Amino acid sequence: MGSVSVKEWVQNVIKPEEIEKYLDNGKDFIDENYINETLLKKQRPEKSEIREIMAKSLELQRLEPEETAALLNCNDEELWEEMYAAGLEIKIKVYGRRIVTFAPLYVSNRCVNNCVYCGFRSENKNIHRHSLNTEELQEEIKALVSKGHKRLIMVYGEHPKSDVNYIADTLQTAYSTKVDNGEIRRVNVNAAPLCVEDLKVLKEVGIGTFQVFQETYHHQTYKNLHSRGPLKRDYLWRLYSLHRCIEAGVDDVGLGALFGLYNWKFEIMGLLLHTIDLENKFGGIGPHTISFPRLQPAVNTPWINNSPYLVDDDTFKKLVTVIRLAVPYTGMIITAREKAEVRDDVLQVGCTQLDADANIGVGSYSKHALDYNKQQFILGDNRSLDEAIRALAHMGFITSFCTADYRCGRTGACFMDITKKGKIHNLCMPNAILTFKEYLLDYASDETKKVGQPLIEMELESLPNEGIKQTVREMLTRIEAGERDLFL
Amino acid sequence: MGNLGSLIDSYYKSSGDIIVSCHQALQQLYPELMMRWARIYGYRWSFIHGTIIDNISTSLVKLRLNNDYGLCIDNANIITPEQLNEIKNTLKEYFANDKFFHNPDS
Repeated sequence: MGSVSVKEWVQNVIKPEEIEKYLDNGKDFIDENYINETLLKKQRPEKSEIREIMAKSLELQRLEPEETAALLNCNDEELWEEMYAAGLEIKIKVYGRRIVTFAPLYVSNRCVNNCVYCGFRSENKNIHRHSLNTEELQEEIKALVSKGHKRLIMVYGEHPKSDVNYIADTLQTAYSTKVDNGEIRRVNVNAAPLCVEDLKVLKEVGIGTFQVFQETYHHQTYKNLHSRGPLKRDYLWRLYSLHRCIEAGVDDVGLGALFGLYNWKFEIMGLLLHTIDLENKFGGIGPHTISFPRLQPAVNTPWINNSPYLVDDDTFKKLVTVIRLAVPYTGMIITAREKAEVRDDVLQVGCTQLDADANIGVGSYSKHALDYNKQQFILGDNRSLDEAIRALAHMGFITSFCTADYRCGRTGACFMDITKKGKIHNLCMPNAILTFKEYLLDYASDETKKVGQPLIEMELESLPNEGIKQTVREMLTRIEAGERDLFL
Repeated sequence: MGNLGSLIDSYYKSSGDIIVSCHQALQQLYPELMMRWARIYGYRWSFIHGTIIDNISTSLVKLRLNNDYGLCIDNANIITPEQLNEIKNTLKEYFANDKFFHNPDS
Protein backbone atom coordinates (compact mmCIF):
# COMPACT_ATOMS: atom_id res chain seq x y z
CA MET A 1 0.00 0.00 0.00
CA GLY A 2 3.09 2.20 -0.37
CA SER A 3 3.09 5.53 1.44
CA VAL A 4 -0.66 5.98 1.92
CA SER A 5 -1.37 7.00 5.50
CA VAL A 6 -4.01 5.31 7.61
CA LYS A 7 -6.07 8.49 7.48
CA GLU A 8 -5.93 8.67 3.68
CA TRP A 9 -6.74 4.98 3.35
CA VAL A 10 -9.76 5.26 5.60
CA GLN A 11 -11.21 8.06 3.48
CA ASN A 12 -11.37 5.85 0.40
CA VAL A 13 -12.87 2.66 1.80
CA ILE A 14 -16.59 3.42 1.90
CA LYS A 15 -18.43 3.85 -1.40
CA PRO A 16 -21.81 5.47 -0.66
CA GLU A 17 -23.22 4.48 -4.06
CA GLU A 18 -22.75 0.80 -3.09
CA ILE A 19 -25.08 1.34 -0.15
CA GLU A 20 -27.73 3.56 -1.70
CA LYS A 21 -28.56 1.15 -4.52
CA TYR A 22 -29.82 -1.42 -2.03
CA LEU A 23 -32.00 0.86 0.08
CA ASP A 24 -35.77 0.62 -0.34
CA ASN A 25 -37.22 4.13 -0.62
CA GLY A 26 -34.13 5.39 1.11
CA LYS A 27 -34.56 3.05 4.08
CA ASP A 28 -32.68 -0.03 5.19
CA PHE A 29 -34.43 -3.34 5.94
CA ILE A 30 -34.11 -3.12 9.72
CA ASP A 31 -37.43 -1.49 10.53
CA GLU A 32 -37.20 -1.17 14.30
CA ASN A 33 -40.82 -0.18 14.79
CA TYR A 34 -41.92 -3.24 12.88
CA ILE A 35 -39.59 -5.51 14.90
CA ASN A 36 -40.77 -4.10 18.21
CA GLU A 37 -44.44 -4.16 17.26
CA THR A 38 -44.17 -7.72 15.99
CA LEU A 39 -42.48 -8.88 19.18
CA LEU A 40 -45.19 -7.12 21.17
CA LYS A 41 -48.01 -8.49 19.05
CA LYS A 42 -46.81 -12.04 19.56
CA GLN A 43 -46.15 -11.64 23.26
CA ARG A 44 -48.37 -14.54 24.39
CA PRO A 45 -48.41 -17.19 21.71
CA GLU A 46 -50.82 -20.11 22.04
CA LYS A 47 -49.43 -23.63 22.36
CA SER A 48 -51.17 -24.63 19.15
CA GLU A 49 -49.60 -21.73 17.28
CA ILE A 50 -46.09 -22.70 18.42
CA ARG A 51 -46.69 -26.26 17.30
CA GLU A 52 -47.98 -25.11 13.90
CA ILE A 53 -44.90 -22.99 13.44
CA MET A 54 -42.66 -25.92 14.39
CA ALA A 55 -44.45 -28.04 11.80
CA LYS A 56 -43.68 -25.42 9.17
CA SER A 57 -39.99 -25.44 10.15
CA LEU A 58 -39.96 -29.21 9.96
CA GLU A 59 -41.14 -28.85 6.37
CA LEU A 60 -37.96 -26.79 5.89
CA GLN A 61 -39.78 -23.57 5.15
CA ARG A 62 -38.28 -20.33 6.31
CA LEU A 63 -40.37 -18.63 8.96
CA GLU A 64 -41.88 -15.17 8.69
CA PRO A 65 -41.02 -12.50 11.28
CA GLU A 66 -44.37 -12.92 13.09
CA GLU A 67 -43.83 -16.65 13.45
CA THR A 68 -40.30 -16.14 14.68
CA ALA A 69 -41.51 -13.56 17.19
CA ALA A 70 -44.01 -16.09 18.53
CA LEU A 71 -41.24 -18.64 19.11
CA LEU A 72 -39.06 -16.02 20.79
CA ASN A 73 -41.85 -15.19 23.22
CA CYS A 74 -42.65 -18.77 24.19
CA ASN A 75 -42.59 -19.17 27.97
CA ASP A 76 -43.60 -22.80 28.15
CA GLU A 77 -40.58 -24.98 29.03
CA GLU A 78 -42.35 -28.08 27.76
CA LEU A 79 -42.72 -26.44 24.37
CA TRP A 80 -39.10 -25.42 24.43
CA GLU A 81 -38.17 -29.08 24.87
CA GLU A 82 -40.23 -29.83 21.76
CA MET A 83 -38.48 -27.02 19.91
CA TYR A 84 -35.04 -28.37 20.89
CA ALA A 85 -36.02 -31.75 19.49
CA ALA A 86 -37.41 -30.14 16.33
CA GLY A 87 -34.14 -28.22 15.89
CA LEU A 88 -32.10 -31.41 15.88
CA GLU A 89 -34.61 -33.16 13.63
CA ILE A 90 -34.39 -30.33 11.08
CA LYS A 91 -30.62 -30.37 11.18
CA ILE A 92 -30.49 -34.10 10.55
CA LYS A 93 -33.13 -33.87 7.85
CA VAL A 94 -31.14 -31.23 5.95
CA TYR A 95 -27.50 -32.08 6.67
CA GLY A 96 -27.48 -35.55 8.22
CA ARG A 97 -25.50 -36.42 11.35
CA ARG A 98 -22.38 -34.69 10.18
CA ILE A 99 -20.65 -31.73 11.77
CA VAL A 100 -18.29 -29.72 9.59
CA THR A 101 -15.10 -28.85 11.43
CA PHE A 102 -12.71 -26.00 10.75
CA ALA A 103 -10.05 -23.86 12.43
CA PRO A 104 -9.97 -20.10 12.87
CA LEU A 105 -6.73 -18.46 11.81
CA TYR A 106 -6.16 -14.90 12.95
CA VAL A 107 -3.86 -13.37 10.37
CA SER A 108 -3.70 -9.74 11.42
CA ASN A 109 -4.91 -7.98 14.56
CA ARG A 110 -4.21 -4.43 13.50
CA CYS A 111 -7.42 -2.44 13.45
CA VAL A 112 -8.37 1.18 12.86
CA ASN A 113 -11.69 0.76 14.67
CA ASN A 114 -12.35 1.15 18.32
CA CYS A 115 -15.28 -1.08 19.29
CA VAL A 116 -15.64 -0.89 23.05
CA TYR A 117 -16.27 -4.64 23.43
CA CYS A 118 -13.35 -5.83 21.30
CA GLY A 119 -9.86 -6.73 22.45
CA PHE A 120 -8.45 -5.59 19.10
CA ARG A 121 -9.84 -2.03 19.40
CA SER A 122 -7.25 0.54 18.42
CA GLU A 123 -7.06 2.13 21.86
CA ASN A 124 -6.25 -1.18 23.59
CA LYS A 125 -2.53 -0.79 24.20
CA ASN A 126 -2.27 -4.15 25.99
CA ILE A 127 -2.57 -6.07 22.72
CA HIS A 128 0.54 -7.00 20.73
CA ARG A 129 -0.18 -5.98 17.12
CA HIS A 130 1.03 -8.13 14.32
CA SER A 131 0.26 -9.07 10.71
CA LEU A 132 1.69 -12.41 9.62
CA ASN A 133 4.23 -12.31 6.80
CA THR A 134 4.33 -15.08 4.20
CA GLU A 135 6.82 -17.27 6.07
CA GLU A 136 4.95 -16.92 9.35
CA LEU A 137 1.66 -17.71 7.64
CA GLN A 138 3.16 -20.80 6.02
CA GLU A 139 4.27 -21.99 9.47
CA GLU A 140 0.75 -21.46 10.80
CA ILE A 141 -0.78 -23.35 7.87
CA LYS A 142 1.69 -26.21 8.29
CA ALA A 143 0.82 -26.44 11.97
CA LEU A 144 -2.91 -26.58 11.17
CA VAL A 145 -2.57 -29.02 8.28
CA SER A 146 -0.44 -31.28 10.48
CA LYS A 147 -3.34 -31.54 12.91
CA GLY A 148 -5.68 -32.63 10.11
CA HIS A 149 -7.50 -29.42 9.28
CA LYS A 150 -8.80 -28.91 5.74
CA ARG A 151 -10.98 -25.85 6.23
CA LEU A 152 -10.09 -22.47 7.68
CA ILE A 153 -11.75 -19.22 8.56
CA MET A 154 -9.06 -16.57 8.21
CA VAL A 155 -9.68 -13.45 10.29
CA TYR A 156 -8.40 -9.92 9.69
CA GLY A 157 -8.72 -6.61 11.49
CA GLU A 158 -9.60 -3.56 9.41
CA HIS A 159 -6.39 -1.78 8.59
CA PRO A 160 -4.42 -0.71 5.50
CA LYS A 161 -1.79 -3.30 6.40
CA SER A 162 -4.43 -5.99 6.00
CA ASP A 163 -6.19 -4.55 2.94
CA VAL A 164 -7.72 -6.65 0.17
CA ASN A 165 -4.38 -7.31 -1.53
CA TYR A 166 -2.95 -8.60 1.73
CA ILE A 167 -6.02 -10.80 2.24
CA ALA A 168 -5.74 -12.16 -1.32
CA ASP A 169 -2.02 -12.89 -0.92
CA THR A 170 -2.60 -14.71 2.35
CA LEU A 171 -5.40 -16.80 0.84
CA GLN A 172 -3.09 -17.87 -1.95
CA THR A 173 -0.41 -18.78 0.56
CA ALA A 174 -2.91 -20.83 2.55
CA TYR A 175 -4.01 -22.79 -0.52
CA SER A 176 -0.50 -23.43 -1.76
CA THR A 177 1.07 -24.66 1.48
CA LYS A 178 1.01 -28.47 1.69
CA VAL A 179 2.29 -31.01 4.19
CA ASP A 180 2.45 -34.67 3.04
CA ASN A 181 -1.16 -35.72 2.32
CA GLY A 182 -2.47 -32.59 3.94
CA GLU A 183 -3.63 -29.30 2.49
CA ILE A 184 -6.18 -26.59 3.11
CA ARG A 185 -9.04 -27.04 0.67
CA ARG A 186 -11.39 -24.25 1.63
CA VAL A 187 -10.59 -20.86 3.12
CA ASN A 188 -13.46 -18.76 4.41
CA VAL A 189 -12.80 -15.16 5.38
CA ASN A 190 -14.00 -13.01 8.25
CA ALA A 191 -13.02 -9.44 7.54
CA ALA A 192 -14.35 -5.93 7.42
CA PRO A 193 -16.86 -4.91 4.74
CA LEU A 194 -15.31 -4.43 1.31
CA CYS A 195 -16.43 -2.74 -1.89
CA VAL A 196 -17.54 -4.77 -4.91
CA GLU A 197 -14.25 -4.26 -6.74
CA ASP A 198 -12.26 -5.61 -3.78
CA LEU A 199 -14.62 -8.55 -3.33
CA LYS A 200 -13.97 -9.54 -6.94
CA VAL A 201 -10.28 -9.77 -6.05
CA LEU A 202 -11.11 -12.30 -3.32
CA LYS A 203 -13.34 -14.21 -5.71
CA GLU A 204 -10.42 -14.57 -8.11
CA VAL A 205 -8.27 -16.28 -5.50
CA GLY A 206 -10.91 -18.84 -4.59
CA ILE A 207 -12.49 -17.55 -1.38
CA GLY A 208 -14.98 -19.89 0.28
CA THR A 209 -17.55 -18.02 2.36
CA PHE A 210 -17.20 -14.33 3.19
CA GLN A 211 -18.40 -13.53 6.70
CA VAL A 212 -19.31 -10.13 8.06
CA PHE A 213 -21.19 -9.96 11.34
CA GLN A 214 -23.39 -6.95 11.93
CA GLU A 215 -22.59 -7.17 15.67
CA THR A 216 -25.91 -5.50 16.58
CA TYR A 217 -28.83 -4.69 14.29
CA HIS A 218 -30.11 -2.00 16.65
CA HIS A 219 -29.20 1.34 15.05
CA GLN A 220 -28.70 3.42 18.18
CA THR A 221 -26.78 0.71 20.03
CA TYR A 222 -24.60 0.24 16.98
CA LYS A 223 -23.92 3.96 16.90
CA ASN A 224 -23.09 4.09 20.60
CA LEU A 225 -20.70 1.15 20.48
CA HIS A 226 -18.87 2.18 17.32
CA SER A 227 -18.85 5.95 17.50
CA ARG A 228 -15.07 6.15 17.60
CA GLY A 229 -14.42 3.73 14.73
CA PRO A 230 -13.69 5.71 11.57
CA LEU A 231 -15.07 2.95 9.34
CA LYS A 232 -17.12 0.70 11.54
CA ARG A 233 -19.28 3.59 12.65
CA ASP A 234 -21.06 3.33 9.29
CA TYR A 235 -23.96 0.97 10.04
CA LEU A 236 -25.19 0.77 6.46
CA TRP A 237 -21.80 0.06 4.93
CA ARG A 238 -21.68 -3.00 7.14
CA LEU A 239 -25.36 -3.94 6.75
CA TYR A 240 -25.07 -4.21 2.98
CA SER A 241 -21.62 -5.79 2.86
CA LEU A 242 -23.02 -9.23 2.02
CA HIS A 243 -25.29 -7.79 -0.67
CA ARG A 244 -22.14 -6.42 -2.32
CA CYS A 245 -20.53 -9.77 -1.86
CA ILE A 246 -23.16 -11.62 -3.85
CA GLU A 247 -23.17 -8.83 -6.42
CA ALA A 248 -19.42 -9.40 -6.82
CA GLY A 249 -19.99 -13.11 -7.41
CA VAL A 250 -18.94 -14.34 -3.98
CA ASP A 251 -22.20 -16.17 -3.56
CA ASP A 252 -21.56 -17.96 -0.26
CA VAL A 253 -22.01 -15.43 2.53
CA GLY A 254 -22.10 -15.75 6.30
CA LEU A 255 -23.99 -13.41 8.57
CA GLY A 256 -24.02 -13.11 12.32
CA ALA A 257 -24.75 -11.00 15.38
CA LEU A 258 -22.72 -10.64 18.55
CA PHE A 259 -25.09 -11.56 21.35
CA GLY A 260 -24.73 -9.47 24.47
CA LEU A 261 -24.69 -6.04 22.85
CA TYR A 262 -28.45 -5.59 22.69
CA ASN A 263 -31.70 -7.49 23.32
CA TRP A 264 -31.30 -11.03 22.00
CA LYS A 265 -34.83 -11.24 20.59
CA PHE A 266 -34.30 -8.08 18.57
CA GLU A 267 -31.03 -9.46 17.17
CA ILE A 268 -32.69 -12.65 16.00
CA MET A 269 -35.37 -10.62 14.24
CA GLY A 270 -32.51 -8.64 12.66
CA LEU A 271 -30.80 -11.82 11.44
CA LEU A 272 -34.08 -12.99 9.95
CA LEU A 273 -34.78 -9.69 8.18
CA HIS A 274 -31.23 -9.75 6.84
CA THR A 275 -31.84 -13.26 5.48
CA ILE A 276 -35.12 -12.20 3.90
CA ASP A 277 -33.62 -9.12 2.26
CA LEU A 278 -30.79 -11.15 0.73
CA GLU A 279 -33.23 -13.78 -0.53
CA ASN A 280 -35.53 -11.14 -1.99
CA LYS A 281 -32.76 -9.26 -3.75
CA PHE A 282 -30.74 -12.21 -5.04
CA GLY A 283 -33.24 -14.73 -6.35
CA GLY A 284 -33.43 -16.81 -3.19
CA ILE A 285 -29.74 -16.79 -2.25
CA GLY A 286 -29.67 -16.32 1.51
CA PRO A 287 -26.88 -16.84 4.01
CA HIS A 288 -24.72 -19.93 3.62
CA THR A 289 -24.16 -19.76 7.37
CA ILE A 290 -25.39 -17.86 10.39
CA SER A 291 -23.14 -17.29 13.41
CA PHE A 292 -24.23 -16.29 16.89
CA PRO A 293 -21.16 -15.52 18.98
CA ARG A 294 -21.67 -14.36 22.56
CA LEU A 295 -19.61 -11.65 24.16
CA GLN A 296 -16.60 -13.17 25.92
CA PRO A 297 -13.97 -11.63 28.19
CA ALA A 298 -10.99 -9.96 26.51
CA VAL A 299 -7.77 -8.45 27.80
CA ASN A 300 -8.25 -4.92 29.15
CA THR A 301 -11.86 -4.75 27.96
CA PRO A 302 -13.99 -4.12 31.04
CA TRP A 303 -17.05 -2.92 29.08
CA ILE A 304 -18.00 -6.53 28.43
CA ASN A 305 -18.71 -7.27 32.08
CA ASN A 306 -21.09 -4.33 32.35
CA SER A 307 -23.32 -4.98 29.37
CA PRO A 308 -26.98 -5.25 30.47
CA TYR A 309 -27.71 -7.63 27.61
CA LEU A 310 -25.42 -10.56 28.44
CA VAL A 311 -27.05 -13.85 27.48
CA ASP A 312 -27.02 -16.77 29.92
CA ASP A 313 -26.53 -20.39 28.84
CA ASP A 314 -30.20 -21.29 28.96
CA THR A 315 -31.21 -18.29 26.83
CA PHE A 316 -28.33 -19.04 24.49
CA LYS A 317 -29.70 -22.51 23.81
CA LYS A 318 -33.10 -20.96 23.10
CA LEU A 319 -31.76 -18.39 20.70
CA VAL A 320 -29.79 -21.01 18.79
CA THR A 321 -32.94 -23.11 18.55
CA VAL A 322 -35.04 -20.25 17.19
CA ILE A 323 -32.44 -19.49 14.52
CA ARG A 324 -32.50 -23.19 13.54
CA LEU A 325 -36.29 -23.16 13.26
CA ALA A 326 -36.50 -19.77 11.55
CA VAL A 327 -34.01 -20.56 8.75
CA PRO A 328 -34.07 -24.36 8.60
CA TYR A 329 -31.77 -24.80 5.62
CA THR A 330 -28.86 -22.58 6.65
CA GLY A 331 -25.58 -23.73 8.15
CA MET A 332 -25.11 -22.71 11.78
CA ILE A 333 -21.72 -22.20 13.39
CA ILE A 334 -20.94 -22.67 17.07
CA THR A 335 -17.44 -21.54 17.91
CA ALA A 336 -14.88 -22.28 20.60
CA ARG A 337 -15.80 -19.03 22.30
CA GLU A 338 -18.24 -21.26 24.13
CA LYS A 339 -17.32 -23.77 26.82
CA ALA A 340 -17.24 -27.42 25.75
CA GLU A 341 -20.40 -28.28 27.68
CA VAL A 342 -22.34 -25.40 26.09
CA ARG A 343 -21.17 -26.44 22.64
CA ASP A 344 -22.12 -30.06 23.25
CA ASP A 345 -25.54 -28.89 24.39
CA VAL A 346 -26.34 -26.61 21.46
CA LEU A 347 -25.05 -29.11 18.92
CA GLN A 348 -28.13 -31.06 19.93
CA VAL A 349 -30.48 -28.29 18.77
CA GLY A 350 -29.25 -27.94 15.23
CA CYS A 351 -25.75 -26.52 14.78
CA THR A 352 -23.95 -27.75 11.69
CA GLN A 353 -20.37 -26.50 12.04
CA LEU A 354 -17.82 -25.95 14.78
CA ASP A 355 -14.22 -24.93 15.10
CA ALA A 356 -11.84 -27.14 17.01
CA ASP A 357 -8.34 -26.84 18.42
CA ALA A 358 -8.74 -23.11 18.01
CA ASN A 359 -5.94 -20.74 18.92
CA ILE A 360 -6.84 -17.17 18.15
CA GLY A 361 -3.53 -15.50 18.93
CA VAL A 362 -1.87 -14.16 15.79
CA GLY A 363 0.99 -16.57 15.01
CA SER A 364 0.19 -18.85 17.93
CA TYR A 365 -0.47 -22.21 16.22
CA SER A 366 3.10 -22.75 15.12
CA LYS A 367 4.43 -21.73 18.53
CA HIS A 368 1.88 -23.86 20.42
CA ALA A 369 1.36 -20.74 22.51
CA LEU A 370 -1.64 -19.49 24.42
CA ASP A 371 -1.17 -15.72 24.53
CA TYR A 372 -4.15 -13.66 25.69
CA ASN A 373 -2.34 -10.46 24.70
CA LYS A 374 -2.59 -11.42 21.03
CA GLN A 375 -6.23 -12.47 21.17
CA GLN A 376 -9.49 -10.69 20.41
CA PHE A 377 -11.18 -12.48 23.31
CA ILE A 378 -10.68 -15.53 25.53
CA LEU A 379 -11.80 -18.95 24.33
CA GLY A 380 -14.06 -21.27 26.30
CA ASP A 381 -13.20 -24.60 24.65
CA ASN A 382 -9.54 -25.54 24.33
CA ARG A 383 -9.97 -29.19 23.34
CA SER A 384 -7.63 -30.49 20.65
CA LEU A 385 -9.08 -31.41 17.25
CA ASP A 386 -8.66 -35.08 18.09
CA GLU A 387 -10.48 -34.68 21.41
CA ALA A 388 -13.29 -32.66 19.82
CA ILE A 389 -13.75 -35.22 17.06
CA ARG A 390 -13.81 -38.04 19.59
CA ALA A 391 -16.40 -36.19 21.68
CA LEU A 392 -18.54 -35.68 18.58
CA ALA A 393 -18.26 -39.37 17.75
CA HIS A 394 -19.39 -40.29 21.26
CA MET A 395 -22.42 -38.05 20.67
CA GLY A 396 -23.15 -39.87 17.41
CA PHE A 397 -21.97 -37.09 15.11
CA ILE A 398 -19.48 -37.76 12.33
CA THR A 399 -16.90 -35.05 11.69
CA SER A 400 -16.74 -33.79 8.14
CA PHE A 401 -13.91 -31.97 6.41
CA CYS A 402 -15.90 -31.93 3.18
CA THR A 403 -15.21 -29.16 0.69
CA ALA A 404 -16.85 -30.85 -2.29
CA ASP A 405 -19.71 -28.48 -2.96
CA TYR A 406 -17.70 -25.43 -3.75
CA ARG A 407 -15.31 -27.46 -5.86
CA CYS A 408 -18.15 -28.94 -7.95
CA GLY A 409 -20.08 -25.82 -8.84
CA ARG A 410 -22.60 -26.34 -6.06
CA THR A 411 -22.42 -22.76 -4.79
CA GLY A 412 -24.84 -19.88 -4.37
CA ALA A 413 -28.21 -20.51 -6.03
CA CYS A 414 -27.34 -24.14 -6.77
CA PHE A 415 -26.36 -24.91 -3.16
CA MET A 416 -29.38 -23.04 -1.81
CA ASP A 417 -31.77 -24.88 -4.08
CA ILE A 418 -30.54 -28.32 -3.00
CA THR A 419 -30.38 -27.30 0.65
CA LYS A 420 -33.84 -25.73 0.76
CA LYS A 421 -35.27 -28.99 -0.54
CA GLY A 422 -33.52 -30.79 2.31
CA LYS A 423 -31.47 -32.89 -0.10
CA ILE A 424 -27.95 -31.74 0.69
CA HIS A 425 -27.52 -34.56 3.21
CA ASN A 426 -27.39 -36.92 0.21
CA LEU A 427 -24.05 -35.31 -0.55
CA CYS A 428 -22.98 -34.38 2.97
CA MET A 429 -23.05 -37.82 4.49
CA PRO A 430 -21.00 -39.73 1.86
CA ASN A 431 -18.47 -36.89 1.76
CA ALA A 432 -18.33 -36.78 5.55
CA ILE A 433 -17.55 -40.50 5.63
CA LEU A 434 -14.79 -40.10 3.04
CA THR A 435 -13.11 -37.11 4.68
CA PHE A 436 -13.46 -38.62 8.15
CA LYS A 437 -11.72 -41.77 6.89
CA GLU A 438 -8.82 -39.64 5.67
CA TYR A 439 -8.58 -38.03 9.09
CA LEU A 440 -8.60 -41.34 10.91
CA LEU A 441 -5.83 -42.73 8.71
CA ASP A 442 -3.61 -39.66 8.69
CA TYR A 443 -4.06 -37.87 12.01
CA ALA A 444 -6.24 -39.59 14.58
CA SER A 445 -5.09 -41.01 17.91
CA ASP A 446 -5.70 -44.70 18.55
CA GLU A 447 -8.47 -43.78 20.93
CA THR A 448 -10.27 -41.74 18.27
CA LYS A 449 -9.75 -44.43 15.64
CA LYS A 450 -11.41 -46.88 17.99
CA VAL A 451 -14.56 -44.74 18.19
CA GLY A 452 -14.38 -43.44 14.64
CA GLN A 453 -14.15 -46.61 12.60
CA PRO A 454 -17.40 -48.13 13.91
CA LEU A 455 -19.07 -44.77 13.27
CA ILE A 456 -17.97 -44.89 9.63
CA GLU A 457 -19.38 -48.39 9.29
CA MET A 458 -22.65 -47.35 10.91
CA GLU A 459 -23.08 -44.27 8.72
CA LEU A 460 -22.13 -46.23 5.63
CA GLU A 461 -24.85 -48.77 6.37
CA SER A 462 -27.32 -45.93 6.93
CA LEU A 463 -26.85 -44.49 3.43
CA PRO A 464 -30.23 -44.97 1.78
CA ASN A 465 -29.07 -45.72 -1.76
CA GLU A 466 -27.32 -49.03 -2.55
CA GLY A 467 -25.45 -47.55 -5.53
CA ILE A 468 -24.02 -44.74 -3.42
CA LYS A 469 -23.16 -47.16 -0.65
CA GLN A 470 -21.18 -49.29 -3.09
CA THR A 471 -19.39 -46.26 -4.56
CA VAL A 472 -18.44 -44.98 -1.11
CA ARG A 473 -17.20 -48.45 -0.15
CA GLU A 474 -14.97 -48.52 -3.22
CA MET A 475 -13.69 -45.03 -2.47
CA LEU A 476 -12.90 -46.02 1.12
CA THR A 477 -10.81 -48.88 -0.20
CA ARG A 478 -8.97 -46.48 -2.47
CA ILE A 479 -8.35 -44.13 0.47
CA GLU A 480 -6.97 -47.03 2.50
CA ALA A 481 -4.66 -47.75 -0.43
CA GLY A 482 -3.28 -44.21 -0.26
CA GLU A 483 -5.50 -42.07 -2.50
CA ARG A 484 -6.77 -38.81 -1.04
CA ASP A 485 -9.36 -36.13 -1.72
CA LEU A 486 -12.08 -38.37 -3.15
CA PHE A 487 -15.57 -36.94 -3.10
CA LEU A 488 -19.01 -37.08 -4.68
CA MET B 1 -16.48 -30.81 -34.60
CA GLY B 2 -19.40 -32.88 -35.84
CA ASN B 3 -22.96 -32.71 -34.73
CA LEU B 4 -22.28 -31.16 -31.33
CA GLY B 5 -20.29 -28.33 -32.93
CA SER B 6 -22.99 -27.45 -35.46
CA LEU B 7 -25.65 -27.49 -32.76
CA ILE B 8 -23.58 -25.14 -30.59
CA ASP B 9 -23.11 -22.80 -33.57
CA SER B 10 -26.78 -22.83 -34.28
CA TYR B 11 -27.79 -22.07 -30.69
CA TYR B 12 -25.10 -19.43 -30.41
CA LYS B 13 -26.60 -17.54 -33.35
CA SER B 14 -29.82 -17.06 -31.44
CA SER B 15 -28.61 -16.74 -27.83
CA GLY B 16 -25.22 -15.08 -28.22
CA ASP B 17 -24.11 -16.82 -25.03
CA ILE B 18 -21.60 -19.60 -25.48
CA ILE B 19 -22.33 -21.37 -22.19
CA VAL B 20 -26.08 -21.40 -22.70
CA SER B 21 -25.53 -22.58 -26.28
CA CYS B 22 -23.25 -25.44 -25.25
CA HIS B 23 -25.73 -26.45 -22.56
CA GLN B 24 -28.65 -26.44 -24.99
CA ALA B 25 -26.72 -28.37 -27.62
CA LEU B 26 -25.68 -31.04 -25.13
CA GLN B 27 -29.22 -31.25 -23.79
CA GLN B 28 -30.54 -31.82 -27.27
CA LEU B 29 -28.08 -34.63 -27.89
CA TYR B 30 -28.23 -36.15 -24.40
CA PRO B 31 -31.50 -35.07 -22.73
CA GLU B 32 -30.77 -37.03 -19.54
CA LEU B 33 -27.35 -35.51 -18.94
CA MET B 34 -27.15 -33.46 -15.73
CA MET B 35 -24.71 -30.60 -16.25
CA ARG B 36 -23.50 -27.66 -14.20
CA TRP B 37 -21.30 -24.92 -15.63
CA ALA B 38 -18.86 -23.22 -13.34
CA ARG B 39 -16.44 -20.32 -13.31
CA ILE B 40 -13.16 -21.48 -11.81
CA TYR B 41 -11.45 -19.43 -9.11
CA GLY B 42 -8.63 -21.51 -7.69
CA TYR B 43 -10.23 -24.37 -5.78
CA ARG B 44 -13.63 -22.76 -6.10
CA TRP B 45 -15.90 -23.81 -8.96
CA SER B 46 -18.61 -21.20 -8.77
CA PHE B 47 -22.02 -22.11 -10.18
CA ILE B 48 -23.09 -20.08 -13.21
CA HIS B 49 -25.60 -22.13 -15.16
CA GLY B 50 -27.15 -25.53 -15.51
CA THR B 51 -29.19 -28.28 -14.00
CA ILE B 52 -29.59 -28.46 -10.27
CA ILE B 53 -30.17 -32.04 -9.24
CA ASP B 54 -31.38 -33.16 -5.86
CA ASN B 55 -30.08 -36.67 -5.92
CA ILE B 56 -26.51 -37.69 -5.63
CA SER B 57 -24.78 -39.30 -8.54
CA THR B 58 -21.96 -41.78 -8.36
CA SER B 59 -20.30 -40.71 -11.56
CA LEU B 60 -19.43 -37.06 -11.22
CA VAL B 61 -16.99 -35.88 -13.86
CA LYS B 62 -15.34 -32.47 -13.77
CA LEU B 63 -14.09 -31.14 -17.09
CA ARG B 64 -11.78 -28.15 -17.00
CA LEU B 65 -12.50 -26.39 -20.29
CA ASN B 66 -9.96 -23.59 -20.01
CA ASN B 67 -8.36 -21.59 -17.19
CA ASP B 68 -11.64 -19.93 -16.28
CA TYR B 69 -14.46 -22.36 -16.95
CA GLY B 70 -15.41 -25.90 -16.11
CA LEU B 71 -18.28 -28.32 -16.61
CA CYS B 72 -19.50 -30.79 -13.98
CA ILE B 73 -21.47 -33.74 -15.30
CA ASP B 74 -23.26 -35.48 -12.47
CA ASN B 75 -24.21 -38.63 -14.37
CA ALA B 76 -21.45 -39.17 -16.89
CA ASN B 77 -22.11 -42.91 -16.68
CA ILE B 78 -25.10 -42.58 -19.01
CA ILE B 79 -22.84 -41.84 -21.97
CA THR B 80 -19.92 -43.82 -23.34
CA PRO B 81 -16.29 -42.84 -22.72
CA GLU B 82 -16.05 -42.02 -26.43
CA GLN B 83 -19.02 -39.67 -26.23
CA LEU B 84 -17.54 -38.03 -23.13
CA ASN B 85 -14.28 -37.61 -24.94
CA GLU B 86 -15.99 -36.01 -27.91
CA ILE B 87 -17.81 -33.59 -25.61
CA LYS B 88 -14.58 -32.68 -23.88
CA ASN B 89 -12.65 -32.12 -27.10
CA THR B 90 -15.40 -30.12 -28.79
CA LEU B 91 -16.04 -27.89 -25.78
CA LYS B 92 -12.34 -27.27 -25.29
CA GLU B 93 -12.09 -25.95 -28.83
CA TYR B 94 -14.90 -23.48 -28.19
CA PHE B 95 -13.52 -22.50 -24.81
CA ALA B 96 -10.09 -21.89 -26.33
CA ASN B 97 -11.61 -19.32 -28.66
CA ASP B 98 -11.14 -15.82 -27.24
CA LYS B 99 -14.01 -14.36 -29.25
CA PHE B 100 -16.48 -15.95 -26.85
CA PHE B 101 -14.74 -14.74 -23.69
CA HIS B 102 -13.83 -11.09 -23.87
CA ASN B 103 -14.64 -10.62 -20.21
CA PRO B 104 -15.20 -13.76 -18.15
CA ASP B 105 -17.10 -11.79 -15.50
CA SER B 106 -19.56 -10.20 -17.90
